Amino acid sequence: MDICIEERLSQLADDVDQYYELLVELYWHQLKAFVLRRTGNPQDAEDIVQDVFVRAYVALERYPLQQRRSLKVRAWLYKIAWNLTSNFASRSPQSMLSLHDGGSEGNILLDQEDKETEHPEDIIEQIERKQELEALVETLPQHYKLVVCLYYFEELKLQEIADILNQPLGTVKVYARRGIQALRKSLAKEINEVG
Amino acid sequence: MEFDEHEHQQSKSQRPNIPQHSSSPSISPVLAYLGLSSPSTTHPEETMGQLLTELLHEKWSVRVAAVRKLEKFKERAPLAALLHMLEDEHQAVRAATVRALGKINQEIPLDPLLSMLHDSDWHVRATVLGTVSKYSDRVPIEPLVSALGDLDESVRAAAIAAIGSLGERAPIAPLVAALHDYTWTVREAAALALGNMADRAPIKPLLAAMEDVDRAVRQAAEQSLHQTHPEFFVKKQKQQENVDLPASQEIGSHAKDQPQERLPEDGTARVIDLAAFRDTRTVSTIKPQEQDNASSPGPAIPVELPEHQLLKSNPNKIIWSEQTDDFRSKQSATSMPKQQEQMPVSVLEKRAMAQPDRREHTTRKRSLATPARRIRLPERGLIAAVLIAICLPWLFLSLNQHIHTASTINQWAIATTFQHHDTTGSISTAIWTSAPSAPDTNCVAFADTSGHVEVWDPLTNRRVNTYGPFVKVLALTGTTNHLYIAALTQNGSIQILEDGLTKQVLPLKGSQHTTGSFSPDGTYFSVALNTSGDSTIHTWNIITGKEEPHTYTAQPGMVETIVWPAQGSIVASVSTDNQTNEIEIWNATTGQSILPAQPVPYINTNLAVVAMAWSPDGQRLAYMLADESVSIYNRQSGGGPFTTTPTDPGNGLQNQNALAWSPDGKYLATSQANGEIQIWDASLDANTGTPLGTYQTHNAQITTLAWSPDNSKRIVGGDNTGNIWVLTAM
Repeated sequence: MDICIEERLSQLADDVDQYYELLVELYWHQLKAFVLRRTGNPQDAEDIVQDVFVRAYVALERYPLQQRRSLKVRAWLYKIAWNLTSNFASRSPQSMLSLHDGGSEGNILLDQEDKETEHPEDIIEQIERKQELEALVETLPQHYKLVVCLYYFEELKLQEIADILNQPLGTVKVYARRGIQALRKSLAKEINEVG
Repeated sequence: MEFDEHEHQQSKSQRPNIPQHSSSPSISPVLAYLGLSSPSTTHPEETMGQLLTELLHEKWSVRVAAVRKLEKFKERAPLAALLHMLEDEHQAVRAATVRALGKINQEIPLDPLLSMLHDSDWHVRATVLGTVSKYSDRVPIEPLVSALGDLDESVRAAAIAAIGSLGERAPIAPLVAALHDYTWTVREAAALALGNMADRAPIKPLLAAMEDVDRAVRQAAEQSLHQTHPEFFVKKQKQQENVDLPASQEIGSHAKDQPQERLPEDGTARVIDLAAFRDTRTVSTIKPQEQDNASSPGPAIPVELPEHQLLKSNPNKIIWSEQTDDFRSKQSATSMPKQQEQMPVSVLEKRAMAQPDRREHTTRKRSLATPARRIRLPERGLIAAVLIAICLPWLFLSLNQHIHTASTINQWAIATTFQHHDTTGSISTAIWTSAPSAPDTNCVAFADTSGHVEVWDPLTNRRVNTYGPFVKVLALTGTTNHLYIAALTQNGSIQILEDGLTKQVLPLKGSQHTTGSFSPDGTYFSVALNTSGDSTIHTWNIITGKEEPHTYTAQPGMVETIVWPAQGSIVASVSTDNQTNEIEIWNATTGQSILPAQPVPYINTNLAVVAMAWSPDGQRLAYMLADESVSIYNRQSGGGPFTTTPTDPGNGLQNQNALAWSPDGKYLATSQANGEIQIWDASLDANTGTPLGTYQTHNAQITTLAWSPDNSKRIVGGDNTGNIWVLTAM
């Protein structure tokens, strides 16, 4: 996360409402994209993210000031989102989609909103690349796929991923490395086939 | 949660200091839900009268915003109007109102607030707990403790925080119990709350929490330990300084030449630390998923390790906790730099809960990672003497504490250690069983009204198996090796399944009114078909596949319940016939009643029997009537030891409830209409019939309870909304 944003959040920590409004501004779309990748249903994603933020508000009001100041809030929000998404998945597994089904499309549309100033052809190229990458990631085993997704698409640190998934950092590193190796192999295979 | 996208349009210019997000033409609905989409200060022109008018507005978001503005009037805020808003139809308004009542600095009545702990919305309940915690001098403790049984994790965390705010009044046991909750938010809240307990905070649970699988919990525990027992870290640091050796020094010669340096200056602290650490080690281990750390490199020198060296940290911890995120630039770098191998660290090695079979492994790892020293015999004697001198008083104090805990049984601390929501129907039966793939694992099996059976491991929170759907699940029973299901199939036959595989199809045609019950060991299955007034109860031997020769036919009316004991073949059954309700007790092998024939051959009750269970020894039959009174019939004495009167009869007669005996036959858990669970002392030498404690608050009707057979004080329960949970008493 941007250090300036982190500092700014820390400065606002004594005013929960201001702090919270900044959180919503910063992370609403990110979290929605993240959850959308898991659920594939925009309405479900919206509901889950709303729940995430209401729970976050309740927790922030409960936390001591020092806790709010030192909170790694982005990873913390992802952790809550991950838990609620997992709960949702256990309640209605039939409604969960894989990374590639619909979720990525919705995410790209969301990302597109952030790129209004870029050239359309660049945007389309980026979208295609991302779609290709997501299609490849989709072929990975589930445990590699999730770590790779959090690392590259959500741009979370490995330690943050370890915290979110409650896995040892070493395990997350191994999963990420093996996932990348598998992606490279798949990519090389595709290139050879095309060539 | 309802959000109206059109109700919270707001200009960003109204909110200074907030970065403008190019993709956010409107504010998130969550801000409207929380009443944050309005300016933080009330416009001067907005009088209280206007705000009071807005409280009646048809849009809930307007009402929420009005409540948020009214709270800023503080002492001048209209208390009566706010109290009235507690009954608003929208949960966002109720939650905002509850929050406002905690902000207005007025002497508010707590009863209306506490009654909202039964609100259907978790946000309202959590906010209530946050608000009443501001009145810590007069809030009663019992509702806060009861809220620890809430099914929502945010509510439980808020309850923990509220208890933590009570200061000297706060009971410690529930906070310690919550350190075992299955959600990290609750465990984190418990660790933080213990930080408010000053020197009352017990050091051992906090040390154990520093080994939690979740980093937030570990950090909270360490923070609380710093607050409550700073001397622990000072002594620990001294100890580290004393035990750390220069890397280049030859270990054996050090031990030989400078034996006095092997003990810290303050030997007391070291021994206490070691004892605490040992204690946590007995209940801790590493989850299988954490085994990857075992592959991390470390110095592989098998050595004999002095006991106090066990506190030296695992170098692996340093790598994982301090290494920065350099994976992007060096993806293959998973090995540990040499110079970091000997770095000390201020926290103990990470471990998860349960599974003591990993103890040897963790010890071995630690010993491999620590420099070797050998202690000569005289020195061992000295260390032993110090250990005994220090440990004995500590052990005595610990024992005293344990005895005190055991004697105050009504102070049982209950933690919700598992929870699952079944979306396909209400829970009809829940039992404890073992998974076929893991016979030593205590799993929870439950059936729902849609005919599904699921098996879950409550420790790992994972589904182990699913069976069905069946037309109707008649009965479940679990042995150490198998799960038996009796179910109606599509063609009306009654099927007995062992671990999901059909074992028998009974030569009977069932109906929707069919009632059945297994003997707990899975040997017998009794079934009453209840078709056209037939109340004949047939019993099959599942092992031989043959029907027992003696059916029971004496009971009139429709048989609604059949209950087998854990031992013996004396079965109880309940029937209803034209407003009469009868309990019959009979021998399944002879088909004969064992009740005296005079005056009537049944236990007659004026109300419907809504729950019934045999004590583990098969001697006492507990049954609950529709008014929630509980009676115990003793086969030997012919009467109870007691009949209770309901403590909270609710607002009517119930048609379903649950009760369960503890495996030692001392306690009886019963459910109430309001979703609470009461624990009764049902031991033969304490037959007072008074409840020992009341736990679990939610709104749904509990339909099943089962006490874990392993004496672990765990109770699985299910309700008619599909919730299933495990309560663990500490």
